[in-house]
Amino acid sequence: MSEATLKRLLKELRDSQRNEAEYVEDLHPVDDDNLFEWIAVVRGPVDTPYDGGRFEISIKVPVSYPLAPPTMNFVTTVCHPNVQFKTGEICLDLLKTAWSPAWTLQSACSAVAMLLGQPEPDSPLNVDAANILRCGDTRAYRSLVRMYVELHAMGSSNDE
Amino acid sequence: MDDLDEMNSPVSPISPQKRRHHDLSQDDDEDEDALAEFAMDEDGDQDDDFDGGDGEDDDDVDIDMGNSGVFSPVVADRDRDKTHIVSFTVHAVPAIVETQTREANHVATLLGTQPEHAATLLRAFRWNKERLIDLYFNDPDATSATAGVILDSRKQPRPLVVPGFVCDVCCADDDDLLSLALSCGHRFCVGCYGHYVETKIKDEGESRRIQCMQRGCGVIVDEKTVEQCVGKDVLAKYKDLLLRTFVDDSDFYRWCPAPNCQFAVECHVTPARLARVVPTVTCQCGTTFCFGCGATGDHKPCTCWLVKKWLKKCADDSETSNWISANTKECTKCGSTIEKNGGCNHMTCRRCKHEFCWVCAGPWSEHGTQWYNCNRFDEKEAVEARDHQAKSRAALQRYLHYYNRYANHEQSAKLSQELHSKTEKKMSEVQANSTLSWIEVQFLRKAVDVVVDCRTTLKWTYAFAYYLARDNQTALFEDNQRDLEMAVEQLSELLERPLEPEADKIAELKRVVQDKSVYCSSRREVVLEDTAKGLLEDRWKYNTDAQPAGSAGPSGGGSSSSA
Repeated sequence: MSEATLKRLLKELRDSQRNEAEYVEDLHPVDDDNLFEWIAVVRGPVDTPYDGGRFEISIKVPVSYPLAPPTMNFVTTVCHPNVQFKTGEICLDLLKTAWSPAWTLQSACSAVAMLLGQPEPDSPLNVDAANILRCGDTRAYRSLVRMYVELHAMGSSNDE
Repeated sequence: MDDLDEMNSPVSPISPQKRRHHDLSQDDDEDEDALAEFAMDEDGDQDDDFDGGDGEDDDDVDIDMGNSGVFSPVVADRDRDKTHIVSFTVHAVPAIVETQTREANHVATLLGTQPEHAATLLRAFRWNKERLIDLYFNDPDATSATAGVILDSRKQPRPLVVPGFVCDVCCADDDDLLSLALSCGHRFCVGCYGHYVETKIKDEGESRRIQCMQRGCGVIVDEKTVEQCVGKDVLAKYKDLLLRTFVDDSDFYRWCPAPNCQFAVECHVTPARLARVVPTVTCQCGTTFCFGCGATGDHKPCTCWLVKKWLKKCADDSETSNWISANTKECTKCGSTIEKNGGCNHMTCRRCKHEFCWVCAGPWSEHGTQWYNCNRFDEKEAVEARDHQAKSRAALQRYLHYYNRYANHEQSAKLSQELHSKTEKKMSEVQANSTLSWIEVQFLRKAVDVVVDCRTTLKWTYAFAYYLARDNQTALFEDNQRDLEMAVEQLSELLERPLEPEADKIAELKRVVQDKSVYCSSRREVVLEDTAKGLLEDRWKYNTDAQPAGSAGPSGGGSSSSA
């Protein structure tokens, strides 16, 4: 399976250099010898408090890829109901049960960026953020998120 | 009797199995065992569950009269279908597989599709054929789309070599690469399909909802396709999982809860009817369980929702009940600590020879055979309790009264295991001391079985009684309950008594035990029949403790309890 995995990852690398996906600014392996660890940078979706932010994601590809989903974590600190504030762990069904081998690293990154604009407060990893949203206090939520975006996700790309 | 049977056979619609039981009940006095099996109706038709013994049971009479219609057929009481017994069928795995195939083929011919597509549609509709066909003829496209099927007989999934094809998953582009596409047209190589389906089956235990690999595509991978891309062991597991979903999805099937038991029971009691019927079934492996709630054992006459309520209450009040059901009691006369180690309630203190009743601790002399009155809670006392505190104390006392008796019968039924081994010993003793053969001493074992059955029923009658409102019906029920309890205590005592070795005493014992066993069985029958009929007719009025559950319970329960 490993050979097929490598072949597939090489194709994904080629494809991601050729055509860009929505919100995904950069996607490349950590170094040229290791195709199983990647780094991605996604942009916050427009019309959300994340707009203008650049978020770094570390990706770990399992050996059984693409049958098993990759593991993704935010490196940049993100305030979001479905993202663990400290570890950057992401709660997205696509990265767990709803994974299908037809997804690619690029499309998965795109989906994670989309998640920023569509929080799901009913399955929270960040309970505080989810609670604010659940009370319906959109203004507090937006300003809180905005503050963290401006603190961590704007300015130079390697702020962490 | 044999002649009659031969005359009947050409016209009789009764299947061989049924006939065997029928004959048994004619010449065997103790036909209780036959009765239980009698309920295993071969056709499993839900409509003749409860209509008396008409139709197929009355063949003996029709022959005698020549022209029927003048007289209504006379049916012996014991041949009548019992209200408290539901008809059910036990199925082994091959039969279930066959049923599935038959249903799928039937739907396939009706809708003009492939059987595997019909099976996928049926699975999406939880094997509710009527609903599927109804919806399908209204809107075929939407129905099949929600079920994840594209009905297009031209697009059969088949491994093909497509020139210039590159698999999106593994990026292989070999010239002789075999690839597969479902009717949605999303093509992937056979190897990837195999790995994908295998992970779904082995790691996730998925079977009927394996979707096409393309993201966002909801088309279900059908059986034929799975067969084409996985190995034998995975395929076997897949088939097994599909079989499980068939039984789990269907309202009319349930797996036997016994460990490693491979049988499933089919019973046509819908969840809505559970408020009025207690569908106790017995698997081929001997396990008795409730078809409605899956609990092992026979919880008649309590309906499933009452059982749930009662068990919850017992668990909630566990502290008090722990305290009350502590295994020892003190002799009311001398205060010695006494542990009950047998089934009978007649206690004799070893120290002071005081005889008392285990349940009420009153002297045994007041529990004579004529006026045994230890089973009903005297509610006059509750009326006398004017102030709130006394009322709540009375409520607790009332609960404890029923709980005590419930727990007591449960405990006694558990001790029957011991009684069984004791009886086994006694049986060999009887054989040694008399001329009776092994088969002739079986009456003792049968009597123990009767005691256990009766105690199980008694146990649940107390839970039932706890929720009953006080009216005439309840008084009648309590009379029946008392009769049964008294009979069981007497039989139980007979079985506990040490054996007297003289031959005439043994003959006497056999007569008495057999009499009592038959009497106990008939009393139990009366209690079960009466309560089952009452449930069907909505005759039982529940008290305020049961009211909130009426709405929370099955839909039928609400109306019956508030009426």
